[in-house]
Amino acid sequence: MHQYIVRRLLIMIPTLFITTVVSFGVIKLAPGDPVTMMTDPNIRTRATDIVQIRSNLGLDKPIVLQYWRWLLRVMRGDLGYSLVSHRPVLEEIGERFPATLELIGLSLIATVVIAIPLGTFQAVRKYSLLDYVFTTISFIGISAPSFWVGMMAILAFSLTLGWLPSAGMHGKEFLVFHLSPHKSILEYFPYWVDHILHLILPLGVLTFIGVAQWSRFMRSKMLDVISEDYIRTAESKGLGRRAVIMRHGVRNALIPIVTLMGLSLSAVVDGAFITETIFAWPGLGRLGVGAVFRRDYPILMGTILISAILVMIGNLLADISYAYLDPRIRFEGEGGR
Amino acid sequence: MLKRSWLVVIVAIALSAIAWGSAEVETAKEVVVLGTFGETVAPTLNPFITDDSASWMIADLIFDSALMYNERYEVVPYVVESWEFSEDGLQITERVRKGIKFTDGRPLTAHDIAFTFNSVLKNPKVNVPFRSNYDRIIKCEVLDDYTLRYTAKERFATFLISTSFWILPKHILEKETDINTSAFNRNPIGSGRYKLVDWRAAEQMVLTKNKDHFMGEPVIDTLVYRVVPDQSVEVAQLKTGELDYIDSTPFKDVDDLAKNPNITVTNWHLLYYEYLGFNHLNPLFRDKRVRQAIAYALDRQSMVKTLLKGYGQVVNSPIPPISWAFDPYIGDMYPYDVKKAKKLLKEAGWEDTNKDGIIDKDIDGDGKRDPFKFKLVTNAGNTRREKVIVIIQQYLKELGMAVETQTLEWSVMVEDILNKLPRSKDTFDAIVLAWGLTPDPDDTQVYHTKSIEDGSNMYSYSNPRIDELLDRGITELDQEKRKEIYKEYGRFWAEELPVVPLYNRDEFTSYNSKLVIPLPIIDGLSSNAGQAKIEKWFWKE
Repeated sequence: MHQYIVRRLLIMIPTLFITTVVSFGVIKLAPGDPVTMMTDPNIRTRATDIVQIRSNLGLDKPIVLQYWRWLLRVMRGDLGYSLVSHRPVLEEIGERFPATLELIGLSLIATVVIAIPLGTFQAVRKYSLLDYVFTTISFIGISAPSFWVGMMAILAFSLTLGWLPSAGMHGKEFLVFHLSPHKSILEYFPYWVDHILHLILPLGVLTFIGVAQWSRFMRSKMLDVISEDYIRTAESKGLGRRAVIMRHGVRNALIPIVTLMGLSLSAVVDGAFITETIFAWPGLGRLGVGAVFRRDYPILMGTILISAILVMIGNLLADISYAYLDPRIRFEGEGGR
Repeated sequence: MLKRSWLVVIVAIALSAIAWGSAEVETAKEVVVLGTFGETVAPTLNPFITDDSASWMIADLIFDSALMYNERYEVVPYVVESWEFSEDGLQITERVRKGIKFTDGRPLTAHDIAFTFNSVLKNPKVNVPFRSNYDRIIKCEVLDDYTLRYTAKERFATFLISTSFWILPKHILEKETDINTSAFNRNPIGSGRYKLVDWRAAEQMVLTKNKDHFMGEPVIDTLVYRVVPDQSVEVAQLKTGELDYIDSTPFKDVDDLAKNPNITVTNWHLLYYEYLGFNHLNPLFRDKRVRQAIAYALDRQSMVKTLLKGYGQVVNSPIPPISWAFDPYIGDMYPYDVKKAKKLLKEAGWEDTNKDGIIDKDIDGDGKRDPFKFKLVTNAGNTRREKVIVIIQQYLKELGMAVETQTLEWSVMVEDILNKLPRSKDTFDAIVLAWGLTPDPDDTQVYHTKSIEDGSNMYSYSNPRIDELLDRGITELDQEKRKEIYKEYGRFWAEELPVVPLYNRDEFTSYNSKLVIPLPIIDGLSSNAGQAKIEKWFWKE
């Protein structure tokens, strides 16, 4: 098992390398560069200044050399400086990563915790009234674009009902809270409560959309599994309904679900971007997309690198969890099959 | 597990209701929360290495600039308390006010101003995108701690205001090896009205007042600029009270917000005009009667009504009405008049001889008549301009012109049209874009022949009379004489129409009605003009 993991981690290195080469090439194919984006005719940027700035930033060098320089720096753990804010890329990413991790992490957990029991329930009670109700809700979640769901949630819960704040991580009265020196536990409490309130809407929207999709997957996988021979066998040997579903049904239905989840981790990261935009959540997705528009290569490469690593780790985790879910799968080095 | 976590949330909601009620009263007085639409409040706080207007706006709070404009856009003393021109007009000697301090306690002297000019503005290693504005000044010398002397290579009318820029502290920046990536750009120290205390790029920026500012301390203690990436969310947050102030209110929300008793909406004219520009290397547009015909054929009044909901004015001259150089004589020079347009085209030799609905004329001298066909482009993403090009296409169809419309991504437009050298007939036919104006009427950068290859004259427009007037205008130092020159320039320009100006537009700012902002806001250069006098804002009791 350990050997397997080590090997998988080693394979990640060439994969990452290829990912960065391709991304770098694609980014450079797009018209314009950060200096172009700086040329607002209204501020009278002169052609000779553009040439000078390009050379200051090293953008006049051949693309292969630019990539090579970038790679050398990355290997030393330095992702370079943003071409727009001129800040270290790691600092920019580090500032936003926690927010994204909080939102995506919590929503992934919530999605799994809700979608799997819900899908199972719907499969077991196929064509019941509740199944129809949840199916309808799921279809809304799948077909409605997430920005629309987000705007509607704001309209309903914050503008009309006034229950929840519409955007940001903290309320107006806590914006400068972290700057005041004297803080007791008691003061922290309302601060955290306020933060949780801000989390509810974006988390709710992300989770709603996630649950809508995953409960459908789970339902259909579960339906496949229920009609399998081994379920009938289990039932006929006198096992209780509950035990059959939980021990034989869910566990088998989960295998393809886990694969899909591992693969779709990147989609979750993408999806969070829209939610981050609507709810003014200061996360990584917005950073990457903003960098695309401003042609900020170092930032863009940094975010691509981070999300590539995330996706690879997601796949690795999915593969590893097979071993626990499917007794037929054993990794080499553990005695073969 | 699931049940328990829900319980936490419910308890939390209940408790927070209590917490909320008490906290709001206490903070409201000292803090103003301003919304900024975009990805970040400002990409950097070094105003010299960016083209971002939000960076400039915040930098204007953190740093002091040498001189100021008053409401009539006349230059008035600020950090520089007095100045004197040399006889030949090639030198200015400036006296720096004594007793001004940076927020770290060090005094601001002539050395800081000279450092900013010589080691930042003029330093090729520093990425200053607007360096060309300072081309005419060749030297800045320190005469003593509080006296400076600038030398220009030629006489020019904007010499004085060109010596005004944000003053950076020499004692901090002189140690830096690379000013572009310096940590100073993150943690700037200035002498301005406010100082930076906290900045999280994607979230917010917090500034507190500089109690020792030389013009007196501002009223509001703390300014919080919050990042709101979506404009409709920004408006929603103003309604819920989570924001106190927003710039650039979308036109579609103006009426709704104005009805809200808790919100005040106010507007001013932007120093700006949108225009239909031509590539003068294309023989289609060479005859000024054709350009005039196009101006007559566009119902610009109704464009203002529909596209700007009436919040704008039809423009006929590149000099804004608030400028001292504006000439009211120009008036409504090109009212909507299709008949007159058709007559002008006929005079210019354009007629539909083959009855295909498109007017034609032999413009290249090959004996064959060429149809009046061209492509009109604008930048993608600006929904108003995307509509404008289609509207223009419709109006010009009336005249028998076949217009094809296309939107281009900004970067493509910059590379293929704006910065494309040498200028050529093939880069574009016609374009809809806008010019932001400076208070000074000098237009050399845009319409002078020398700006075709080194400047923003992407239209390749060349007219000796325009060149002469622009040259005279910028080298004349007497304000009254300049006024006459620019009046003449404005009239001649309106007759010539290098581009067809469409309209300027208003800018709206909306804010909590309890907040008092000195009004009227003077017509501004940028969409942040509403914040120009932020040190005078206060909360109503």
